Amino acid sequence: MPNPKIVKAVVKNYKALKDREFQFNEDLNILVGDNDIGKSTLLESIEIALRSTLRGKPIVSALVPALFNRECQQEYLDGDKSEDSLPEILIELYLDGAPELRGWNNSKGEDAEGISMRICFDTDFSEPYAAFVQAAETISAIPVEFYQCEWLDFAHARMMRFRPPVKGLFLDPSRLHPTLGRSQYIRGILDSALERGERSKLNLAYRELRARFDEIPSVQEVNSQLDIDNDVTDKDLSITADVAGDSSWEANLQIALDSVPFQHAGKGEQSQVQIKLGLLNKANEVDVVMLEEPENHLTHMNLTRLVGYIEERIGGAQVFITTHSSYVLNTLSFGKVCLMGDEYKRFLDLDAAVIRRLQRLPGYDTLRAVLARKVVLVEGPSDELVLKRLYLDQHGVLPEVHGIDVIVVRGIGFKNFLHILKSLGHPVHVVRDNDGDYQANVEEWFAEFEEPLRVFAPLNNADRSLEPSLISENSESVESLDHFARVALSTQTFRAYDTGNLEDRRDFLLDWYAGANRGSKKVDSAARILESDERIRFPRHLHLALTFE
Amino acid sequence: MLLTYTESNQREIRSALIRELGFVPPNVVIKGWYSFLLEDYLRPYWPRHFGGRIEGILLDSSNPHYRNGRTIPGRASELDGQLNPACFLTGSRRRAHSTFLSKLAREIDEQSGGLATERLGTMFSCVLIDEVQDLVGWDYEILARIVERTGIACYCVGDFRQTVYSTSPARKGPRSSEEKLARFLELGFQHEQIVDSWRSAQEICDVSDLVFQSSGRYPPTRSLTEYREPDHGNHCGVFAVADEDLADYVAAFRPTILRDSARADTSFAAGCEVVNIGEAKGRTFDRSLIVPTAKVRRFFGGDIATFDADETEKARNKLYVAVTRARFSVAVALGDGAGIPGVGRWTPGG
Repeated sequence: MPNPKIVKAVVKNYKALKDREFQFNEDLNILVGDNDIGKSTLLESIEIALRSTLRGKPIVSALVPALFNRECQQEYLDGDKSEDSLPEILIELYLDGAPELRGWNNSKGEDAEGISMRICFDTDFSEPYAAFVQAAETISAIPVEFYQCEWLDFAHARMMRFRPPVKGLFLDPSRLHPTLGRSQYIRGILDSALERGERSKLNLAYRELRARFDEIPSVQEVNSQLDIDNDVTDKDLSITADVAGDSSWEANLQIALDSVPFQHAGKGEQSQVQIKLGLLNKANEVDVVMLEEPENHLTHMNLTRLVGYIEERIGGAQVFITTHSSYVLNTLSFGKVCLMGDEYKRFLDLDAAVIRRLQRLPGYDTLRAVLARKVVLVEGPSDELVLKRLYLDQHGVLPEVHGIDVIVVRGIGFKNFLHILKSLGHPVHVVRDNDGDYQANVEEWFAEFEEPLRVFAPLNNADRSLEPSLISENSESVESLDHFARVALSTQTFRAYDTGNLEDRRDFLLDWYAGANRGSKKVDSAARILESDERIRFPRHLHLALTFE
Repeated sequence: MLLTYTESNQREIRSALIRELGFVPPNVVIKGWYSFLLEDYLRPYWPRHFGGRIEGILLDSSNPHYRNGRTIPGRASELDGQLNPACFLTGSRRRAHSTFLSKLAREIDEQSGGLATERLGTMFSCVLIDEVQDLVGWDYEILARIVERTGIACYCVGDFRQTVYSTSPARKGPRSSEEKLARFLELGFQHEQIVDSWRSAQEICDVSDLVFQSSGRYPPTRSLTEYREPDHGNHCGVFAVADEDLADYVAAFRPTILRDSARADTSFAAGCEVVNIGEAKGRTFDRSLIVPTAKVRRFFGGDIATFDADETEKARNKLYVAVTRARFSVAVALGDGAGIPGVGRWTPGG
């Protein structure tokens, strides 16, 4: 039987997720989005509905007003506080592959397989709640003391914590702090890493070990001297290993790396090892793995190895990963990205060739591009610097202040970005050189894309790229070109430039930008433009590229 | 999925699986008939206008809509074209009446467009119903749905001579053994008569056949056991035990005492397990001792047709169940000895 999968989640009033619906991929889901948009919250929602725990703690005991969406809490506090106005948290997971969980008891009334967790007012408290409202002078938070957690499947059977029909494992590298619940957390990971028989073997051996403790001669010697005169008790007092104790091996055994106890190993190592152990999933008992920001504490090389491991090990389980790393999502497949924002987006129609190219060249900052509201893609760093200066002149601030992200893309990268961005519906402006043939290199090159994706380039084929178009724009007179040259060139180069008529001066500049070391010359020159106290004129296509409706 | 009616039989099936396989495989579900209806028909497609969640079942001892011989008004099964909660549910709406459970299950399946039956078809490939004689009336509608609308292979095992419960006191047919058998054939079941007993010695089987001899409906039973006298205390068969010998008998053989109801006097049997015949169904004991009712006394006295005039088959079935529980020996507390073949008198000296 294939493992059950989460097809869809409905989350209402849980933290940042007021009323949202998310569709998932059956294998891998890479959750990305701005900070505080609710990536971790979504992972938590899944954990709560699958296991009725929140970060390992039973949800019942973790119930606090802060779990409720702020808006719904405010609505309640501003309202008449009647029993009916008490908000509830609803988390529903729609599944595929768990036929016994099928029924139409869900918020959509759909005939579907699934699990629902409702954190709602316990109607048995109707009277005490009314009395509480009456007596309270002010109520400043949702009174969760009157709440219950109703955990049912869509067939309306009660869910049992120790027999979950869909088994989830939450790997959260930040959890490995030596605090409460640590051993339980490790146990969960180990459970997934060991087969059933292996677990029993360890447990048996551990019991035996404790039994043998009492037989050790030095222990017996200590015991024989312990209460030799029966001062303490008439009975035979001894120190013994707690064989009958209820703690089993998981609570007492330790993971060691090269004999160094786990919690003393480096953070990066700990984080890697726990992720890998969790993904071992030997008994194939884990259906859903949740993994939070695997890039934390890892160097790029270790991240490369870990990502390779994740890819290899996913197996039959469904994996949810949150990440801030373009490297992680490009490598694992951009096609599996679930973008959380005002809208929730997946990239289902993304060209397989684009996905493969990004896997081979994972350095592209694709995450930055999809997270930006307004994107300007440019060919090189000099374009970026010049555009920033233009925006400063226009608005007094840099473009990122207004949510415009200028991203440098080289060569074939353009189209990768455009294919990814076209499905988002965000405005994307491309600033491109015409390289002497506007028709071929701009118009035809861009023909496959449409609004709100737009391309901007110098119209005149003679203005092949940024620098010639800047020169043209500032060539009204010798004076204006001199002004430009003073801003854009070093004093030394300016001296060499400063001779002849307008034509000569223009030719000097064109040759200089096209000459030896042109790469660094262009960047230096653009940096001077950005930092100068003087303004220059910018070509029309750059003005347009920075104009978003 | 293995379905049966009583809890004791669910336990019996579970231990049989454990005997055979050492464990209950994870793909085997053992459920009671009511739980099955509740969990797989009522809950998943619970009518929205009923609201909330159905918590459980109220076991009705009689039709809940009659009081003092009259029908309580407002309890029709439909109201304004919708299912009437007052018919099927208790006042709190949290529990469903057992009397109309299978009817409600059928209606819910009907109103959901057959989704409950379809769901069942995706969950199971095979359903076995044990003690199928206990199903009546609307239960057969559910059975029909499983057989006709899913690809589930359906096997039913039962012995109509052992009908001592029925899942519902409602009047809907089929109710009698003949009607039930006819319904099974109608549903396309193949009928296979099993005359073998894996439990009781041949001597016991012979006496049990006498219970239904006058009906002429059942062929003789063949015991497949190989009990040999010396292994079992030289005491195999059916015996009449006089009142004055009861204490000795109980001390010698420690039989399980089978009684009609708690009203029967079992004070002579200190230390023995005492079981009501209704609850003994499906169970197996090494030795049993039956505390007879007046009618049972008449039967053992020689009047084997004593049940023929009964309106229902219940008393005859109960005796049949009582006789067929033991593997080695059945004793009957009979002051005046027995008048039917195969039942000798037991005396302490042997």
